[in-house]
Amino acid sequence: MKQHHLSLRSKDAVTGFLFTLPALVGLGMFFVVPFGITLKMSLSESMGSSKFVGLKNYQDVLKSAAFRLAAKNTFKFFGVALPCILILSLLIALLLFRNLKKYDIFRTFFVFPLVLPVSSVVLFFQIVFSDLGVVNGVLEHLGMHAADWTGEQAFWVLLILYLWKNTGYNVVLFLAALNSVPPDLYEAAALDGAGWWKKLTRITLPMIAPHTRFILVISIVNLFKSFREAYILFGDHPDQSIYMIQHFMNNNFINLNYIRLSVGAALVFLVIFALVGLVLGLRDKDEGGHE
Amino acid sequence: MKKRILSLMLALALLLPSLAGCGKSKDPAKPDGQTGTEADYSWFSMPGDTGKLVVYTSAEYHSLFDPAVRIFHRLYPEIEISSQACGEDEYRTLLRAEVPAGGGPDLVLFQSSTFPDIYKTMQIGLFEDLNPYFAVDDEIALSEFLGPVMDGGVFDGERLVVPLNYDVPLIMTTESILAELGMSAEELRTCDGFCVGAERFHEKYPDTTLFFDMAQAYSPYLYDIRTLYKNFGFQFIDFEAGEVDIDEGRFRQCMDLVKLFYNPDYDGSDMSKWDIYGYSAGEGLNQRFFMYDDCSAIDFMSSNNCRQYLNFVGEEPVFFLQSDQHDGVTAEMDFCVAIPKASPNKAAAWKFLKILLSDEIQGGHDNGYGNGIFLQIGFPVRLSAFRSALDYGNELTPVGPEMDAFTELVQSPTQALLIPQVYRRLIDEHIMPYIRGEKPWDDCYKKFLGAVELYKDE
Repeated sequence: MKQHHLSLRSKDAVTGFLFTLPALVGLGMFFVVPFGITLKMSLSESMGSSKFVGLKNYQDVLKSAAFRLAAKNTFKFFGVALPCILILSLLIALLLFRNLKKYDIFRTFFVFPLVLPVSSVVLFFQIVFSDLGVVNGVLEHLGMHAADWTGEQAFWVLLILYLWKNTGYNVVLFLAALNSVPPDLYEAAALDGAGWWKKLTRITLPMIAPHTRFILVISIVNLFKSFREAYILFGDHPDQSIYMIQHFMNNNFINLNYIRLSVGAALVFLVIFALVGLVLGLRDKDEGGHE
Repeated sequence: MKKRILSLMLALALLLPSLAGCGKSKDPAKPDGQTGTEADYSWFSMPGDTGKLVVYTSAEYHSLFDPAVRIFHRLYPEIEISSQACGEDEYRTLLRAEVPAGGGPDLVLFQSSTFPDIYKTMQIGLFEDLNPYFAVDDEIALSEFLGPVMDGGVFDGERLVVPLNYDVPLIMTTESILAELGMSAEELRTCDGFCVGAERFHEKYPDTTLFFDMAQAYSPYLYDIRTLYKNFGFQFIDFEAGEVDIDEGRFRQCMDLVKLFYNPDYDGSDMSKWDIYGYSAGEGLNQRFFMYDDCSAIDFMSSNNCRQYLNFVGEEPVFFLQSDQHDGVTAEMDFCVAIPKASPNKAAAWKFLKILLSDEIQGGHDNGYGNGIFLQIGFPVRLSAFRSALDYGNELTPVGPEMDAFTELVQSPTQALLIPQVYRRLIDEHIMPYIRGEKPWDDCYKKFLGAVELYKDE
């Protein structure tokens, strides 16, 4: 009986493995192998030599002023953009959740910025934030000085672009999360005399916590993707306020310095790995606590 | 638990290699501190012949490659050449993708636009040091070539790039213009003298451009920027020393010239104002201070329409080389060659390189259209090929004392550079507000300096 049970499991395992094999092959070919090559390159002496030099390249990159500036700006952007988008999208979702009649129309409206071509978005922002653009026109009309939106204030342009593009998607996700909260919880809380703040902090936020973690991971990924717009808007050598890790990596790619590019990629992987690991670790802790 | 183990394994995988030690590797055969051709290269032995050679060509290089390949076949019939013809963009893409990956051609032919920054490319150790090859090969010697130009391809004591030809900031003006400005040709031959001359000319003719060349007709200030910073000899970054190298005073002097002649309303589309076509109008030619052919100084001497016109009207042209910031002359390397370190056919690549540096190629002419030289543009680095390269077989070819004077003039560069285009973008972005009068110099220069520092550190 036991043998039969084991062979059934083995059979299932083999079947499952065969079904996942194409995905595993793809993952191996397009992720694991290139990542391995990248790691190997990051530990090599130079482009013309594969001699192993340990962490020397990592030391060189970490000492580089350009990398440090890029890392500082990336963390700064993360530190500002991530809370902003989470809070903003949650607030909008909460506002809409109570008053939503034509949900489908709003969903389309919020997802719209995501599907617009990047070039159109960039062109629009260039017009709005150029030296003679709409924003500076309004500022001057109000008696203020025009700002250098491609220079010192480029950080805020990038932040606004990121929020404009990605908030809607997060709103849709938060709305789905809010929909999953059983309404009788709110009714029970209302009967007990709970106000809107207590309902928010004691019911809504804890109940949508798993969804929030997922939205956090998606937002982190989208933050890295915002380099595309930054590159098109500000070029490969933008103002120092928005020079980020991706600029460092991209410029080393352009200059064929694949060693430094590999090191940058490995370090970025470590950071994302740590961040996502932290988020998942919190999830596990939560689920463990609930059990 | 599983996650902790995985994290620990990952951390160890990254940390363990640091225990294996690190340090700059070197060729085990190469003694320490040996650089330059004066060094002892007795340790070096030529790579063995593999009987193969892989070369890539594109349309822009075919006039140079085709005769070189014919000569190679004739001299080395036993070596099989595999030649891949590419479009211009494809050529650049293939080089940038394959050479760093250890593939690609055995000999890389390039110009400034092929690699984004040749100095950064040299820095990453992609190319073979050719000093030992020159030292041990009896068939060729560095003394046969123009030293300051050849040394343009030396990086950190290693000869990683060999220029095949070069161009100089050859400028033509006329005796009558100089007389009008109260200046002599000698006074123009220093950096400060050139600037003074340009300023005086602008006072007299405020609506004209600094240089005259067909290429600048539509956007003269952009042309001025590129021409001037190239001729002033700004390298911007000393990669060997690892520091930014800009003399702010000279750089400002250069940009002030651009600003002086900056005229955003200049309409270059009006062809009647182009002197080449406006001989009969009589205007313009004597209102152009400096005539400069960005295509090639060699064309300038042999075929330029302005020179023909001056001869026709009996004007005496005055030639001089614009001085750089150190009152020397900075040449620009045109076509350059390098052998990738990863090339498996280095012996054959070296033989091909020697053919590209031979009299036959350096001084040879294409007997087809225009009788242009194989090198297409610029002057040959090989000293013995110079005069034959200049001989276009027409009445404009300098002869006798004129040839001697011209030879001495264009073989007087003190250094050679291959300035990457990135600096033009940085100047356009950070210095243009000053040129347009929108922002003060200090603000613009500070931003530009910051951008160059960042670029250096990348």
